[in-house]
Amino acid sequence: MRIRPELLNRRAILAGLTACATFPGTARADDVIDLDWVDLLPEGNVLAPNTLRGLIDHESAPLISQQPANSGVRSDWNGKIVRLPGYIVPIDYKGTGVIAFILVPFVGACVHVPAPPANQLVFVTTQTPYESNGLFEPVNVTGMFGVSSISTQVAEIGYALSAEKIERFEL
Amino acid sequence: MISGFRRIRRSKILTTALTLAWIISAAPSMACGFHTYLPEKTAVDLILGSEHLVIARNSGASRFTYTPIEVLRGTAPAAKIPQLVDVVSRRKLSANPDDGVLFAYDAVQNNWSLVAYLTPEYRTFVKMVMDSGSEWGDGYPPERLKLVEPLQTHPEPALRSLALREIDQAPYALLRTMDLQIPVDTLLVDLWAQNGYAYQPIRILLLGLTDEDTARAELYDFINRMKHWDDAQNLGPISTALVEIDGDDGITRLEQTLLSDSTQPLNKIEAVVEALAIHNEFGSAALRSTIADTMTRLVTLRPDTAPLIARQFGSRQDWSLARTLEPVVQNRMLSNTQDFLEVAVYVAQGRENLK
Repeated sequence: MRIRPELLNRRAILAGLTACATFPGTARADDVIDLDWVDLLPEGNVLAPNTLRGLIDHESAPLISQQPANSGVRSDWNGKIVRLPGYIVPIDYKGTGVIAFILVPFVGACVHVPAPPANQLVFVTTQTPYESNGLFEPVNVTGMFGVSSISTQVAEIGYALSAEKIERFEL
Repeated sequence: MISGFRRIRRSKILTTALTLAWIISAAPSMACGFHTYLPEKTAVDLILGSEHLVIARNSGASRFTYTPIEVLRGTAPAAKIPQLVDVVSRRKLSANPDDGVLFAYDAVQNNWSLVAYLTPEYRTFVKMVMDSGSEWGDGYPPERLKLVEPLQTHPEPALRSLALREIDQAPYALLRTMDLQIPVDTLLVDLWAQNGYAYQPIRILLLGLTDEDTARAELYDFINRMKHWDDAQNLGPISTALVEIDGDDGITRLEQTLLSDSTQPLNKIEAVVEALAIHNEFGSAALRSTIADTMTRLVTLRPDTAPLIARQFGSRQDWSLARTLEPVVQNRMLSNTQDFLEVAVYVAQGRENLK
């Protein structure tokens, strides 16, 4: 039997929470923590090595070997409601809507540049299918956040987010 | 905490650039995609791209240095031609007063390039290129191939060689429409000539354009030998030629020999898939259907081939296999994030194109 990814993901996030006694059911404006991608790196890490900025030598090696090693994840926002901007790589669909996607910090991740390290990838699920405007659409995602190294069924995705709100990001 | 908005805005330009990069990377299937040598400019490239073209000869007073005797384009640069007249050229120039050597001058780099030794025949060809080349525009137009086609069997080796190098630059879609005049026997002999190695890929592709059993036999032997090799050298052009010459049967042979063998290295599989992706651009509906079925069986047998399928078809903006690859994403059949995302991007792009 295939487990619905949105359920699996939320359960996994919840299972990973150790420090939180209660969880907000819905996001209120004053509860929401705005995060940036740098916040997902362990303290002391420097964001944007060359590979994260797309500055790679395409001739030098297969992309897989260039994926930066994961430097660890932060559990500071486990169970918190956060808002994070990023770009969509759709994974699962319901009809024409996306119900699971990977949020990446820069466009083109995984195409001509190496995938970001695990702590720069967020597996997002939503119970309400999101009618995406297209691949790499910029969005703001709000929802319950947590460390999720096993819940996504894909290795090396450091975080999971159960989205309550997905907004198109107006560039 | 820093808002990510600013980063997102900065990324707007990046969005456009990378989207374009994705699209641009879908270059047309070039015959030269299978080069085994570093592609250098041909004489035609130099003639088309040079602001200054001169014909030079040596003289009795300076037998070892070239002096411009005629300006074909631009002006006669003041810079002296540094190339010396080699002994063979000295003899030929001495024996043939109408011959010369064509040089191109790059004023920015202050650099002279020897384009070709000009016989009267070669000179006629140069004039034809100069007359018609200005209308060709970007890319490799059919007119350019038409101009070199008659040189395939020219008595002068330099012009025959130029023809082969020009053909090698043509997009595969154009190549397969050409009037091939090189005899199969010549292709086969030159294929294994010591100085022919660098041009094996184009000669293999040309074998595929024939309908000769001797060409088939060579291609079958190639494939059978390669089954036991670890590297994929020339497997791309061989697979392309095999499908060209045998159609569906060629695909079946590739599947039976390589694709259905789960022990084959992925680099070899990718070379075959590249060939099938090329044919998926031009093939009949029946051939494309066979390719789709073959890819479905391949990815079912080996989900780890999904990224290379996505790569080869995606780089040609061919999203026809999105449905075939979708289960790989849905069922999380790839453990590597890079691979997983590569296939997910292809599937997403395919779905968008279906909208």
